[in-house]
Amino acid sequence: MRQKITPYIFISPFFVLFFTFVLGPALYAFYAGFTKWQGLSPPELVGLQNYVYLFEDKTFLLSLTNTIWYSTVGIFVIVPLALFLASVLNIEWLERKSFFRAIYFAPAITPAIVVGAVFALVYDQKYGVLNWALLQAGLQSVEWLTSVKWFKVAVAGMIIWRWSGYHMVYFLAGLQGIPEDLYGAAKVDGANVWQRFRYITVPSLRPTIIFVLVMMTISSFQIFAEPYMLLSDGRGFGGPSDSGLSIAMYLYRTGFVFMKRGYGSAIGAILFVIVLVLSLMQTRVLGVFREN
Amino acid sequence: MTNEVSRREFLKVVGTGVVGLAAGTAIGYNLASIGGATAVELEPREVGITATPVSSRGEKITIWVSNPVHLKYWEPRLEKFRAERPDFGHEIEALHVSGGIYEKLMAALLAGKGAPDTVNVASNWMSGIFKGGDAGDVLYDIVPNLLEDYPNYNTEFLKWSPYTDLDGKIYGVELGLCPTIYYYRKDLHDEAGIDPATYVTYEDFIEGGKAFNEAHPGKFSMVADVSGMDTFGILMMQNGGGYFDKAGDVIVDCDENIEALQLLYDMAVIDEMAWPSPNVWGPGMWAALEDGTAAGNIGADWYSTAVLQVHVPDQAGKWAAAPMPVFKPGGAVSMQHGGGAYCITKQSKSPVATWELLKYVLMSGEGQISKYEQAGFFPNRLDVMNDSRIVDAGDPFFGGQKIGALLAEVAPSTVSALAHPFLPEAMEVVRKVVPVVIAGEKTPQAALRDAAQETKDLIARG
Repeated sequence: MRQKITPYIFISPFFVLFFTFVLGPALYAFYAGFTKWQGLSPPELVGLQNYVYLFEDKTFLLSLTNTIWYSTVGIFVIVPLALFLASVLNIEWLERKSFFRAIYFAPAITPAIVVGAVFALVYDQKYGVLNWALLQAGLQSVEWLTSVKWFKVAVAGMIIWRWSGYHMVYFLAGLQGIPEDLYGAAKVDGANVWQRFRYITVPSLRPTIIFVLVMMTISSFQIFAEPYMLLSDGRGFGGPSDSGLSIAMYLYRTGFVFMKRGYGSAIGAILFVIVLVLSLMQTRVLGVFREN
Repeated sequence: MTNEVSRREFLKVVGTGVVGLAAGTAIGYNLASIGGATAVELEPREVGITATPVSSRGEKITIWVSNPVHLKYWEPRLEKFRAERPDFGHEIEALHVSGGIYEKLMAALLAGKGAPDTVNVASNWMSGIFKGGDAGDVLYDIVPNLLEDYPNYNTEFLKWSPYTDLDGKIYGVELGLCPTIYYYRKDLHDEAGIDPATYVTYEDFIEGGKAFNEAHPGKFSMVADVSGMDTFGILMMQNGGGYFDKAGDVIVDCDENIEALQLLYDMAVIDEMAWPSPNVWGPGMWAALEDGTAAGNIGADWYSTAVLQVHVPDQAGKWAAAPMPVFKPGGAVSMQHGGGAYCITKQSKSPVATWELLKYVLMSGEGQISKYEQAGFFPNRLDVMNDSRIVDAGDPFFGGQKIGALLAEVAPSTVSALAHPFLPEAMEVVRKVVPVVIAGEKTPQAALRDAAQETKDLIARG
């Protein structure tokens, strides 16, 4: 079958840019993962050495554990919360819906540096509003930023605040596509609020839920800005004793602070494989691309 | 030529293009890194910048600075330079490169093009340049020029260690000495009847701090960085410790470091005279300065201009400064903290002219005085640091105190950090130790012993 070449020329800018700035460097990073490439010296092939060392590297394993924690928070807290917010802000009789939607979405477009500086103050042990509230409630203040145990929780709080509104928008779009007739018919049949949500909203939103879950998994495995900026100048990034260090942060530290580009590329390759496998598992388990 | 193509042909073309591009990218990167190194290997490093056989008249000289504060001394000096040297023959441009200057510099050095003539390199970046190769491939060793233009360099200037490799080659013109002193709220100390200028040892310091706490509950005469290296880093260097010795061996668990970490623990936890701050560079710290919770801290010369005068300008006249206490009588009263140096890259087409410029702005007597007056960077030239414009100048922020005289007093005993290709790794490992010790989970000795082993393991892996 013959096709005209003109359409391909029109779509070629994307492919040229994609291959040059995304695929090319990505392929090179895979190659670099098999090299020892330090500082300004040229890369030297070392086979699987970087990958073998990765699984002995305690800091990498710590960053992996931390990243799984952030991902768990994303999937089990942010996604349900985003769905809840979207459902509330989709109620027909609610007034000023646009205003509330904009407010909930605003954190997603606030620069990470600003969010980091504000949350550093929110979590401050002496001056923070959070500890003030705890003390007002008769509880003890918490060392959010200095405690190995609490730093990760502090980062999770920041992520929840920043990204719930963003994912809420996807759910809102999905909710607005559900025909009102279905709810009307269910009401006539005597279905209560929960039953309408369970048997109409959730099944109708299934493609959106899957999309949000996959996006959430991908983005939470790439988390960098929030824990980096929480100690606002990035000076002690990783948190106390690296308790908040994510894989992406460790990749940056290895590649750009330690100047071990080969090893950093191996971390990047592993991160890619993890995200790919998880995304494939999700799409398989949740039945994406299934005919019916 | 036909304007039609089958889908199979199209995919074949695209597929070939992808593979070609990927391979080209890979080869391109590879050549870039090798090409940069090969090009600069031709330069005879041993004989310094003056041997560069490049006729560069007319080439623009580009200067990268990492912080706009550096433009404060560059701009007025460049204006004078242009007026005094109309025959210089080069356009000069000083640029503040915001965000990722280090990454941009490393990318340019790797690629073999795109680097400026000279760039303000922070001391901790040097390890990246030292790692895995010879810094002389990309930067000029300025030792021959220093010795030629300043025959008494060894006795006239202080400390260049962070920019010196293990072979003694120097790759940067340092912008200042950055000596640390103790800054304190004089009004609050006066109310408590305490004079920090009388402190000699840290025992005096702790006793004074406890007395200050009694007089001002909730306020502290010292800040302890309990999540990073700001306080411990200063203390361990002052005490003669550090990460590596001059031979490049790991000394993370040396007695001096253990003593310094124990002191930090005592100040923050046992004696509770230092305010434990999780982020000495964050908004909590600025609030603590504002309300007097942080009524004293140790900092370099730039701490006054970059922190105190920025975050608590309304406290002008309430602050004073004194020498740091010492661990033992006769010990160092100061350490070099922060700062940076201007390195001349081998990509410069005008290295000789760049060297002339750096001498004028950073190394000449007038340049050093101007740098201090405009931006607060204290000179590292001995015959300049006692100039009357420095030692006799009263600082209004410090109630007219002659801060320059104090810095000149402590400067000769300032301890300098040493460079090492694995310094970032060592710093990250040791940084993790501080919260563990502060939380009482390990003793300083045990924590630093483990850190030393971890550092050695990291170096062994390469």
